[in-house]
Amino acid sequence: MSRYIARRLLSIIPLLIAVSIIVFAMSKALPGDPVEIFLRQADISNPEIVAAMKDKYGLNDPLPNQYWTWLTLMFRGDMGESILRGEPVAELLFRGMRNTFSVATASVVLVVVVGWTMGVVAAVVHNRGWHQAITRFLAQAPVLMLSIPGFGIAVFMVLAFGVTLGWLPTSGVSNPRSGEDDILDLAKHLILPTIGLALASVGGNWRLARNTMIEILREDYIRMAHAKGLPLWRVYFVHGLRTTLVPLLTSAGLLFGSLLTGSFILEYIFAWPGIGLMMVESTVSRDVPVVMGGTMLIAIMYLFINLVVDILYAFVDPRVRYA
Amino acid sequence: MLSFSLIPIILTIIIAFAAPLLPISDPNRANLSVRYIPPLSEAFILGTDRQGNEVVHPERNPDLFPSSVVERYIPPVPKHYLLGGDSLGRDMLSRLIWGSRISLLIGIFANVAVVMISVFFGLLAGYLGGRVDGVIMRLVDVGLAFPGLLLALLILTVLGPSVINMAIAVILSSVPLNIRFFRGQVLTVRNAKYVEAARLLGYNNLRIMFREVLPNVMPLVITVTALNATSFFIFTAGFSLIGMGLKPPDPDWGTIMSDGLRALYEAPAVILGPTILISVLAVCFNVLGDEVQKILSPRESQL
Amino acid sequence: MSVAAATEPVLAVRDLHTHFFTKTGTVRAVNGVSFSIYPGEIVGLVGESGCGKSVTAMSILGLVDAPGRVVNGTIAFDGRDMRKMSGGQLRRVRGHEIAMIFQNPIGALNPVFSVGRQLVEAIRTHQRVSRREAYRQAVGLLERVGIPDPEQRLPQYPHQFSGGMAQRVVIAMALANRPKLLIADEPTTALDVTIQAQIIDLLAELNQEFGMAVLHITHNMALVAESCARTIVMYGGKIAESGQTDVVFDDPKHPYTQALLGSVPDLDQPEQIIDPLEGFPPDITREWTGCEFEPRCSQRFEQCSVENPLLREVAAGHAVRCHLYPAAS
Repeated sequence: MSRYIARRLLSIIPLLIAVSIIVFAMSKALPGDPVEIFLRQADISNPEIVAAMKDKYGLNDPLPNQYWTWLTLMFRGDMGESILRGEPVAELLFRGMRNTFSVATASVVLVVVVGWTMGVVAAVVHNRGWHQAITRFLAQAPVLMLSIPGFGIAVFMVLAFGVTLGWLPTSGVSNPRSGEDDILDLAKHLILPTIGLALASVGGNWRLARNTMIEILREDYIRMAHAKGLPLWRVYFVHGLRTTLVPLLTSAGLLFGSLLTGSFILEYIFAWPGIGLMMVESTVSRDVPVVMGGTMLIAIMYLFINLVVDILYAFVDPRVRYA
Repeated sequence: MLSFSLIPIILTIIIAFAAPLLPISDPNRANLSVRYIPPLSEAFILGTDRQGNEVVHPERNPDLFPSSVVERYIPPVPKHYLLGGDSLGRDMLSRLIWGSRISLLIGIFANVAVVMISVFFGLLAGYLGGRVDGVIMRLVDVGLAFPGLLLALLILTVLGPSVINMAIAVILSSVPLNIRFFRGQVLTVRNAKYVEAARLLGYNNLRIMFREVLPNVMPLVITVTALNATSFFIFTAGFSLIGMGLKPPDPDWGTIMSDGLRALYEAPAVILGPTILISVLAVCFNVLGDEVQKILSPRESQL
Repeated sequence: MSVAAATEPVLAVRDLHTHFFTKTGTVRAVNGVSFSIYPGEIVGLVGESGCGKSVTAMSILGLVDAPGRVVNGTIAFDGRDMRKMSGGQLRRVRGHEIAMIFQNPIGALNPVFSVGRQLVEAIRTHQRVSRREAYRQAVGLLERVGIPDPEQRLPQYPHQFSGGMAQRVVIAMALANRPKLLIADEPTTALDVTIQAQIIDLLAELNQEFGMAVLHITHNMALVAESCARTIVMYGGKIAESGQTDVVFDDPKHPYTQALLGSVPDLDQPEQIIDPLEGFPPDITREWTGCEFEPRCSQRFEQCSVENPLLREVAAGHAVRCHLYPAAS
């Protein structure tokens, strides 16, 4: 097991090197010279000053040297300063990550609580051969949920609960008038982004849970469990659910990874100051240090979460653990 | 279910192609006096300006504009804003109709390109194996190290926003996953008896790849194309929405949404229109994909 | 028969009908089956796949999955009608008084629980014993079914067992509560031939030792000949022939039984021509006016296509459902 983890950890390293090279190459491929852009903001266009600045920041060094300098600085936590905001990139990204983390966590909780429960209920209803209409509804509802794009749901909710009814705030993390640690205010701001982010995945996990469990309830060991005379709840919720959880946990883990690293559109709609919105704003305004640092951070987190999911998978499924 | 989902899709395609023929106003013609005019309302054409463009005002009174704006006055003609006007008073109906073209165009173009590239490299990697497979799959791994839209975002950053660049971003960011999928399928077909038989007959690799292996992964190719349609469509719209897509003033459902996002309270209709269209079409594409999958690869889609 | 007949049957199935109500029509999987099993006897239930033998087993335990349903008949176990039992009563019989083992032993064990946990569960569902006591019993059971090092094996997971070993575990689980009847549904089909014999021997031993009756469902005539006292041959959801195994094998009456036995090569007669049964199992979505076997029968005559034969005794304890053997006059 520990050898497996070590091997998987090692396999990440070449990928990270490749990602860093791509990010570095991208920053070089961008039109416009960062020094010139920076100085133009201060209304300086004297070529001598520009050349001196370039020299000072090592921009005239050979590319491999520049790459190495960037890489070592970054690993020391120094990702430079944001051109747009003048803050250290690391601080900026940390703040964004914290905001993304709260909404991603809330979304995964919603997916697990609603999606999994409904999926399991749907599978049991299907298996018991209950009323056709209920069975049909429990099978079709998730398909509709996962078909509507997240930003579509987001807009509908904003219009309904924010604009028309005025119940919930539609943008930002907090009300400017409320204090730093006003949990209730944060919770209110969290509701719509969480649902917008989670609804499609609630549908996806609902369907996944349903389909997986229906398959599993056809397995011989379920018939065996019945033949052993186990009470129904034990058959469904011990024998059926335990095996169903294997793919579900994987799916939730991957969902968490993707929510932490890539909900650009939803964060944009809700003006949620997370890592996604920060990336979009930095991209549009060509804030290169933030884009570079953010991309590296996102790639590292994404690879790491996928690794953790793989390891978790081995823990919940003995067939993998002993393979 | 199939025809149910096909009708809106086909209808949209027809309308998109017929846009230049339809009796609708210029989608880029701004008229600030009808800014955010609500749906189902009526305005009046009062005359034309120096460039020969119509001058429109919500009221029938021709004296509302000084003669410096209106060059030629005409008896006011009613003009209907079925879906209202946007932030610059442009006709939402015609913007939505013209906007359908770009979303669909990128969707179709990207889809064809992604499938062709992915099938080609998937075949190479899966069938030839060895070093070719190693190189292709390492590159795929690198591509997959960027989650979801990040790679597309980076590509658009470097290339700048435009229709072509958006298509390139969509293609490059979804090719890795598709290559990996097709390679897996080719691997299962590769060891089939009929492929072995073809090898024993002395056919060369190229012939076996395209005449024996490819036809056997073809149903999956079509299924994946249908399933990709949804994600590319959403992807394009989403990217326009965050301002990484088209440059204004050209309409595109995503940019229209983006415009509407700035006037949620003032004119909710602006964002509602494209959102409904995108959502309905996304559901249809999804149903279509599922149905195609059911027909072509029934084993993968039981239940 | 004479010995068994003196006592009450442990299981008496009368006129069992189990139908599946599918979109494409009603599948009459079991269509009027009656038989009895007496304490301590091994009965073989044979037939091709799809003849209804497994559905018969599931019907006995009340485990027919939707859209299937037992529509008619009585299933008397130990004098109690299983069809009139509540869910709770049924569950007290299952795994306790009637146990079942399946064709694919690895599949019958839950892959994510250790074998020990599943055995302990089987014991504690029907006996009020401590976990420790159940564990001790589990060790004894594994020992009894011939698994070496039971203490080491109990914490292991099903995929760490070979097919034969897994089937021994399943048998141990079935034995856990000393059932009166064991239903073995193709217990050896998924196993190697050498392992098959071991499992059959084990079942025979346990039958002797615990005195439990065994209903052995199989498509393998050789296994039946080897281990079963009585044989029931099923065809198209009905019983084609039943009787003492030696009688049925020495003097098969039904053309289907004859064909089945003809397709088993006899090693003592190297010159013998194997005569495979042609055609396919009958379409059981329709009610047959004639005999279900008529289309494949080599001895058919006019009556066979117009009248469905009844099961009639041709000799004491030997019954055949075929027009070739009209009621004894």
